[in-house]
Amino acid sequence: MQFVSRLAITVAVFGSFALALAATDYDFDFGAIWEYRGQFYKGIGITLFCTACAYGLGLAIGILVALARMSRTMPIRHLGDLYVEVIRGTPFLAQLFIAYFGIATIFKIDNKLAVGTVALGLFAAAYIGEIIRAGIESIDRGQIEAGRSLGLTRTRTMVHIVFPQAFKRMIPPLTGELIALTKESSLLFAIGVIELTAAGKQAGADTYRTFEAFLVVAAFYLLITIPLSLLARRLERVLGTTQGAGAHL
Amino acid sequence: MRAFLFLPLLLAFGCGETKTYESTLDKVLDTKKLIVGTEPEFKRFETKNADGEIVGFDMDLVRMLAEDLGVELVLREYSFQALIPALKNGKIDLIISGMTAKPKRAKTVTFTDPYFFTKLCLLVHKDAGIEKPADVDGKKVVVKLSTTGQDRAKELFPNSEYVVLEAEADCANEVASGRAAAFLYDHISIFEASKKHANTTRAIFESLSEEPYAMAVPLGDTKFRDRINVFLGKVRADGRYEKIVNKWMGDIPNAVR
Repeated sequence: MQFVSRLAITVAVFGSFALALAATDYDFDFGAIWEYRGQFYKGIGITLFCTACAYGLGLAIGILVALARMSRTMPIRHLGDLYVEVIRGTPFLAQLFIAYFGIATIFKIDNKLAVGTVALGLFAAAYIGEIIRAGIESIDRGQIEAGRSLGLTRTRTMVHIVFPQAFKRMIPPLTGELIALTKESSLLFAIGVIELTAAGKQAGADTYRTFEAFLVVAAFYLLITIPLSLLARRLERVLGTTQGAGAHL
Repeated sequence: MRAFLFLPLLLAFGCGETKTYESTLDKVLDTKKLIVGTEPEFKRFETKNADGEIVGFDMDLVRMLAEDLGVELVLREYSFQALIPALKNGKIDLIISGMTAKPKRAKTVTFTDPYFFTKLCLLVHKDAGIEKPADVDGKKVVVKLSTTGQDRAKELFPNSEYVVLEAEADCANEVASGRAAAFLYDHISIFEASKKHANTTRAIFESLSEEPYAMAVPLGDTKFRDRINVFLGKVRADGRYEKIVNKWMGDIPNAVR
């Protein structure tokens, strides 16, 4: 029932938008853009590849960043702080140029896709690290104390008591980050990685049909991001019923 | 902390073994590869077609250049703002991307002789009573933000009122709808707009100002520049240049020069 209502609202909103567009005196020609579908598919492939790899890298480094920021060793903690401040405090485009024209040039790496993906992953790591840290620190201290008084070591308390509860709280922001990253990957165009947005720009430039091209680009992004949102919502619900009870023992 | 100590070491390693060439031309001839940077988003000069090939006037020209040098052509895409950094970084040997040879740019790269002149022309409303450019003065003019049209409008039409818009399509619509009398922009865009709004507008192709498009090579690389200039002279003389102008710009009145 809920699904039907959701579908009805979606169709109604997009339907009226389409009708409103059709009512303007713009002469739409999606046929011209259809010719470029091969380029769009390639672009989607690149977008998915970059986003997935960058997110994986971001998770791995993000965990390290979170651990560093919560570390009891001061230099490590400060290094983690510095990383987050520098990455979050500068625009990704600037980081990308520094990575590609600065660092990659010094190391004689010339693979635009690889450099762009790694830069995107390092960018995501700062945000993911903060999500993880915030999730862990949001768990009541009493939970740690309870674990410790039951005789668990610090690490075991973390793994068995704090983390399962924290993870559930991290899912919504982690999903948000993945969706943001999907769109952020379009900036890789600057160094010539032709992902979805760039494919749309190029098709628009070749046909003078930029508006249609971007409508198609927007639709493809939604096709990627909406399933991610739905999946995350389901995951949250599943974890909520199985582990939620344990968390409140 | 220790990681920082390694950085200079890695830097030293990275900068180790590269063959240095006196001119990019030597590198191109030695490696048998001409690496050209472009942003394929400029119709007629360089765009990517449905098959993913980059085509246009610039591409034909640079392909002939590679042929002339007897080397393989390698195209690399960048956004326009990344083209000059890529050239300065040695990631590409040459830029061809409908780039105007502006004095400011010439401080960071060396330009070849111009290979094309784009002209500042007018799109006018049919009922605005404009026969020649001088008739525009005193009437409402629309220009696109940060274009030569915007720069030059005030001196060309001192008594006119101006509208500055961001999108080219909006500028053309402003004239087509009669809200403005004329749109001042480059002749290829004006030509396309006049085709799109054929019922309400027409183009005046008289040139009000010219902008040279040129290829860019690394700053101070006169040897490479001179070799390209020799090539440009050759193709202009033997008719190959005219052939590709006609191929890509043949439908535009008054395009060739």
